[in-house]
Amino acid sequence: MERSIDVVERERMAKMATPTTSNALLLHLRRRLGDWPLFVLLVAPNLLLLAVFTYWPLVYNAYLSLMQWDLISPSKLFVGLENYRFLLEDSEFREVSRNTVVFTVGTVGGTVVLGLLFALLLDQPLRGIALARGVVFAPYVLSGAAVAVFWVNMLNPRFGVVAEVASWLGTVSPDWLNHPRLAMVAVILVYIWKNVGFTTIVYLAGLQRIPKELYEAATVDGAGMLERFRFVTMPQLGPITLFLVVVSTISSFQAFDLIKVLTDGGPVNATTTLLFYIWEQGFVAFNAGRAAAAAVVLFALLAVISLLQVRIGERRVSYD
Amino acid sequence: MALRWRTSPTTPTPLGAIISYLILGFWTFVVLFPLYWLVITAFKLPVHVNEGPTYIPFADFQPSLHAWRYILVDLGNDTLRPYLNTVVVGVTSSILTLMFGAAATYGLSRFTYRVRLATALLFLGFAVLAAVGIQLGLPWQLAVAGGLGAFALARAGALRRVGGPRLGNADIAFWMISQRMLPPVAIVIPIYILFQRLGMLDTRPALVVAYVAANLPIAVWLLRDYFRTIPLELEESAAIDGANRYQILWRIVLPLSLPGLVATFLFIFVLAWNEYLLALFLSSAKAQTMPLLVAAQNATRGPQWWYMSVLILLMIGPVIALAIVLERYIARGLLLGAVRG
Repeated sequence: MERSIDVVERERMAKMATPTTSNALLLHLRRRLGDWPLFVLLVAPNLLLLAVFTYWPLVYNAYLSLMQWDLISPSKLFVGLENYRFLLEDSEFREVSRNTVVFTVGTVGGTVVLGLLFALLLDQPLRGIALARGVVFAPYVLSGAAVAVFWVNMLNPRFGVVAEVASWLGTVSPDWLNHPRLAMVAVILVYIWKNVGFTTIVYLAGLQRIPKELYEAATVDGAGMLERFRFVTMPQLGPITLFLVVVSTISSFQAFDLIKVLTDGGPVNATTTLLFYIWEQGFVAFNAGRAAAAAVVLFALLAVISLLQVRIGERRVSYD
Repeated sequence: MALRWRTSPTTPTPLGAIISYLILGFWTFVVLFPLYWLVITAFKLPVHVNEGPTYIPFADFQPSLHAWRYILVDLGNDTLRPYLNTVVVGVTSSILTLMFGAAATYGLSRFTYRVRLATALLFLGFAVLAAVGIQLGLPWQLAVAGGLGAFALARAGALRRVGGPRLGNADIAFWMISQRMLPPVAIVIPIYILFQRLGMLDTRPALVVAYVAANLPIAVWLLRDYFRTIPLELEESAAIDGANRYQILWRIVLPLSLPGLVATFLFIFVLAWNEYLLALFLSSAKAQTMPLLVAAQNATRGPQWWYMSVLILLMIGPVIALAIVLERYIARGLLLGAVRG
């Protein structure tokens, strides 16, 4: 794939290798070891960090999922697969799973579809488009906690702006964040508001990479705007769409601060997602074992999704 | 990388342009209005908030600095300490992440070493044995030394001539990048226990280390694509001129990859600045960061929007400036490593 510069380096060292100086031994050592020390120096710290902060925790987490433990007492009780059985039978866990699916489908679908739409609009040669690009992207860099706080303000049924707008339109704004069904809708909408900038900007970068000649050829062949979109743009954006769906799915599984501040998982459990459930089980109810078991389930889900990406990605034709 | 912006070849029809402006104008309003609201609320007196919305400063209400005075002067250190924590942790962890990430990415993209799968598995085996030993009460120094020693012996002896499949750099890179899919919450309990044992809970170093580990895969992912764009010929000619590996890295590769490094730094910095979950577990009072402060204050001061608005403005001000720079970089394909992967 890439030519290595090792060859050049080795030739150079071969020239220098005549042991006339006192550091002949050093040279000899260098030639035997080659670039191994540098390679290890460059890569090893990363592998060490990953081992300590990713692999050990994963193993330990799997071990915890077989225990009953309240995070405080010195001894843990081995309970086998009891925690997993609990999850299977827990009605709350079923509700949480359903919420997670709704949240993920809503946020991924929303950000990807809206992102594509915005990208197509922003790709046009219009005045002021650079400003609009910046505006669409901006919320993505804001803290989820901060975004949630000011949306709580906006959605407040008594003195929020949304309620005010509703009253101009002659209706009454519901209490979004305390409504058993609308709470989830509100959380999804705020999430899309914050994250659609990322999908938009990635799609825009994708549009930039589509060769102009393809459009010209299609136009020559008599393709209209819709046909160009259907037969040139869409296939060319295929790999990016796949990438965005996977990345967005993973980040929607990780949405925590937004939900914590907006609804705290409520009302009752209406906006409790799998991730939020893990937090509640572990650090509100002090069931480290159950939290760990739920974390194992979450991890397995994400692993499957990522594997699917690799599999599907292999079959796609890259447009390079 | 020439970063000339290019728009789509088709000029929209007048009708298309109007529709585009309507949609984009609507979204611009939806994005900017909450931010505008935030800014004016920070200058409102309680009475201007509680009696229904007021919109235009000076016309609707008289702006006041009372909330700013309260947050910055009356609360003083309760605001400034978390702010300083966020700055220190964000900057330190981002610099370290960039250093480790760039080193690993460069190593993996320029050196072609291959490790026998059998050797890697052997190493893993002894690592697990050492971990089990520590669990069973063995002093960790002894366990690590013993594990390494046993591995070296086995490697030198039995496995010397063993063949089998090899692991290439691409495998290591893929393995590192794949960590990005792992949600921190799935591993946060063990990390909490780890820092608890080390006595590092509620300290800045703990947050820094955790953020470096969490963001490293992202740095490798973003930088990998960028290092590929640096022509190898430059490095080769430097090598022929007698520069050694370290000089090549310092004098040629790093200066050439500066835009990529800057973009990656900004991206990681924003992630560290906003990070909530790990901070929630690993810090309480001393090392509290701004996202935690905002969330906590929301619980206690919920309806006191004027105070909350000031806090949020303090927190999001710096990253809004970064957003403008970042957007350019990302939209021009600088940070798209994995898309083509």
